[in-house]
Amino acid sequence: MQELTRLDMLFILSLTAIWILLLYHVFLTYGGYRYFLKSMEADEKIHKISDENLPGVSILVPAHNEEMVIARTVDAICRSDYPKDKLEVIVINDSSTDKTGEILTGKQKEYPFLKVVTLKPPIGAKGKSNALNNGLKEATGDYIIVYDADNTPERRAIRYLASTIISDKRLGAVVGKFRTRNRDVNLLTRFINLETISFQWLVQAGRFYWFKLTTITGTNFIIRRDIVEKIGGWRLDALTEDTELTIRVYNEGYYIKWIPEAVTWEQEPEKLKVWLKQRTRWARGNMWVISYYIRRVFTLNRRISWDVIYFFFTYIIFFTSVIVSDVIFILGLTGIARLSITGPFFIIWIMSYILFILETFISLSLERGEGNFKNFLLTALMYFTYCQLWFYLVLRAVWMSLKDKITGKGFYWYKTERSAR
Amino acid sequence: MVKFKNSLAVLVTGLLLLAIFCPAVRAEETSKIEVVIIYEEPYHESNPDFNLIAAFYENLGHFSVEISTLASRAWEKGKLQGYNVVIYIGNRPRELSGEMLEEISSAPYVLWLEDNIEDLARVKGWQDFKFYGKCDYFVRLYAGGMSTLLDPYVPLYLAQPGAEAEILATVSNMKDTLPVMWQRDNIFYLGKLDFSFPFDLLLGDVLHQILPCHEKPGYKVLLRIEDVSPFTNPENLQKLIDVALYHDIPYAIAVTPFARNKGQEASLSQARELVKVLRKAQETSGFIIMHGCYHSNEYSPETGEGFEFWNPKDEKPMEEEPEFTRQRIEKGLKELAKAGIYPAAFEAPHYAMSSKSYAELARYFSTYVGQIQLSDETYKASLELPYKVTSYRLPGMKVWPETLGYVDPGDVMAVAKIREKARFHKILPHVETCVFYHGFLSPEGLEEVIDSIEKEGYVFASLGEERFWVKSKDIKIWGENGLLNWESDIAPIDPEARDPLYKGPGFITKGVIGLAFLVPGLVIFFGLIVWNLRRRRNRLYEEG
Repeated sequence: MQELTRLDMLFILSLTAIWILLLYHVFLTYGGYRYFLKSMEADEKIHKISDENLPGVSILVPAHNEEMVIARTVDAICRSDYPKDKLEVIVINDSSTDKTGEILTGKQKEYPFLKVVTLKPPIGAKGKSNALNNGLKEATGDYIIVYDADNTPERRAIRYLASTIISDKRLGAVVGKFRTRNRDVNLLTRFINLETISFQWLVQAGRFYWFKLTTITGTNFIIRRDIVEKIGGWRLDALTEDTELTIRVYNEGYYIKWIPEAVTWEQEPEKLKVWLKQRTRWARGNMWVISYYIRRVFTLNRRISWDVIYFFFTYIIFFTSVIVSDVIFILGLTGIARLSITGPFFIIWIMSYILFILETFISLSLERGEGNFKNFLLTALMYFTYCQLWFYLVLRAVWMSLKDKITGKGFYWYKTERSAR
Repeated sequence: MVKFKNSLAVLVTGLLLLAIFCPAVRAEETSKIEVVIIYEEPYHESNPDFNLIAAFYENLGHFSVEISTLASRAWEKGKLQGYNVVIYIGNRPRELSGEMLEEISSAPYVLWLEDNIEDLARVKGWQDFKFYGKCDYFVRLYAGGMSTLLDPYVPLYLAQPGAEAEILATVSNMKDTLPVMWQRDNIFYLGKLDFSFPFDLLLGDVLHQILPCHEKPGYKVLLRIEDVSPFTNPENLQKLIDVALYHDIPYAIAVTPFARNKGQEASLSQARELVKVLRKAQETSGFIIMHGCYHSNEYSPETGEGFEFWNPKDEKPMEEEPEFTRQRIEKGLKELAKAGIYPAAFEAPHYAMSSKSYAELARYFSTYVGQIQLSDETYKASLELPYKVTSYRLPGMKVWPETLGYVDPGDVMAVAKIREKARFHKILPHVETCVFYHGFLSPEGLEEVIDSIEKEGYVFASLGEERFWVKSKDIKIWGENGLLNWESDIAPIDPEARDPLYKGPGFITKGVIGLAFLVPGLVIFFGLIVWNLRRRRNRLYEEG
């Protein structure tokens, strides 16, 4: 057998890494499907709970210049199917300079149980974690629910979250599903819709089915107040406070459940620039969390340590591998360096493409009205467009993180710009 | 170790021993024939890369002669005495002295080429002789009862040699037919000195009329399966060999023991299936030619396409030759021996090699196959010969020439061209030539080539007919009459045994095969899931 060159080895390693992740996602897809079938039968029991047995919950809504969306969010939450005596709604008006404060004052007349916590600099404007920690101080409920300011939860969402978390003492948090309210606005929002559905059914449901692992997604989740207090609230230095919180909840010995029946509708970016900024924050945040915990992986609870490794694999190894194989492909095309191995690499690529489409389409089929032909075609297109943008995005995030590391600059919380829909 | 090879070739050789020798033995045969070549200076003005004298030396390597050369200006009285044959090359116009012409014409045989023949005619007193000088627009050549097309732009020196002359070849256009080769008294004349088809054949013919030749009459062709390397598909090669076996003809295979292509490198001993095919060929009627070591070098890196012993980029020999040449020859021989393959001859990739490398090569091989590069300045000065020679440029090596060409898969006339050339070659009393066919081409094409050449009355020759040897530090190969013997210090691999380095299909291949089974399975499974979901849609989703 001929000697493999270093380039060959690199190529094989990257291809192997890509396929390990692809096949893992196949496994998760099947888990998501199984979880879908299972949740149809079991959840009725949990949710058939009388009002008197429901716990008192405090809903935290951090809001920073949310005049376009806050009224609708407050309406949706306050009109929810939950006994009002057990519902405390706290909107944290975090140094808003627009009409958010005025709108909230108006809403307080409408809903007496609505509390508004107003933060002003130097206390406010320090990001979502800070707002949530301040909201927590005012909260009286044993359970904390968080909604982003652009969310409109369905009427029964809060009830489902609450009834699920009291069903098992080992449950530290319960995460609901979020859907894209403005999915039909343009191609970007359509792609985001596909992405969020497939992420939730594949990564959230699939991981929960197989390993009882779910990530808190920052909105539409309930968490035990005592856990939050025990772990010292939300971390101020984490850009993705939700992922970070997830790790700590698991590390305390609890688990988190994802339930598809608790639905909130949120507004996604409609402009590429906005999307890019928001997702770069996520990517940077997740990389921060990964780099922070991968070094402590052996001190973590075993279940979550695997998840940290999985995220490490996705963000670092997978992206590096794809970029490496792309670079080798370009080097080969330009004749600068060639692989000495030959193989049906084109077929391998086609197979990975087919798998991608199928995985995504199965996730879509689990969502009513989404498993249609149009979305099938969109998925096929998404691979070459939206997915490729992620590579740019991750590179951008890496570059920005490195730059900040070198210049010693701290992070800046970019708040997603809203549009009125 | 001795292997018996090709009983048919031995039988044919034996029968031919009974046949008569070449009939055209004109000159003295008792002692070595002395030949002098007289030329006008500068003799390579029209094509500075092509050395006419060197080409003559190679041509005369077919005969048993002593060769001297003399520039006509350097002639002095009595200098031409004692020569059996005087060859005069009238490569430029010159008024020759009567005394010199007298001395030339007093030689037993004179071969006069191209210009200045009118001076000799005057000395000879040929009253009816008429010289036309340089002529062109002649389109057809007739010789030995055959004809072939001519390039009309090629100038020829034509004359009307008189009633007493015997016409040996003529050329014609729409109007005239004129002698281009003739004999009158002891003078042979050829109106065109050109070492390529078809004038190389006229020259060969006239030389055979003058000089004694011990070759038996008949037309022999060597079939060479070309450019076989570790990348060659062994199944296709086997099919080509099967065609030769079907026709019961001997053949040779030009093998390059290492191959490089687009960053990939492979050696023959790794190509187990190919080794099996080659060994089988070697054990039956095939002989192996070592076709370089890599058939490539740093200036032309692709095996099969590249030069090896020449730098085509700068049009010069490789730096550090002959050391480079020696290393490549030894490395190639070792790899062949490792594969259990023992070559009988050498062929340089693209026939390109400098005189230094030829000298080095002659220490290792007795036999060369192909054209001869006459210059150290360009590889394009390549000499075709219509018969075997003992080369001057490849010191003492026997050269199996190559003149019939090859099958270019893009040329629909390729086989017809080969046949046309083969036919016209028959103006010679005997021919030894070669045709080659690439190892990657289809067996049908080879079938056509063999058929068309056989129809011209040719016999396929074995490279092992005549004595040959190959020598290196570790390997000795020798043979004749179709036998191949060798002694080698290099243990050959067993192609049937599992390669100690070979771990079954590579893990990449295994991985791909695994995926090839897994992914369609997953596709079907996922398809079923989607189908199931759609079927049960109304029951699964909450109405709302």
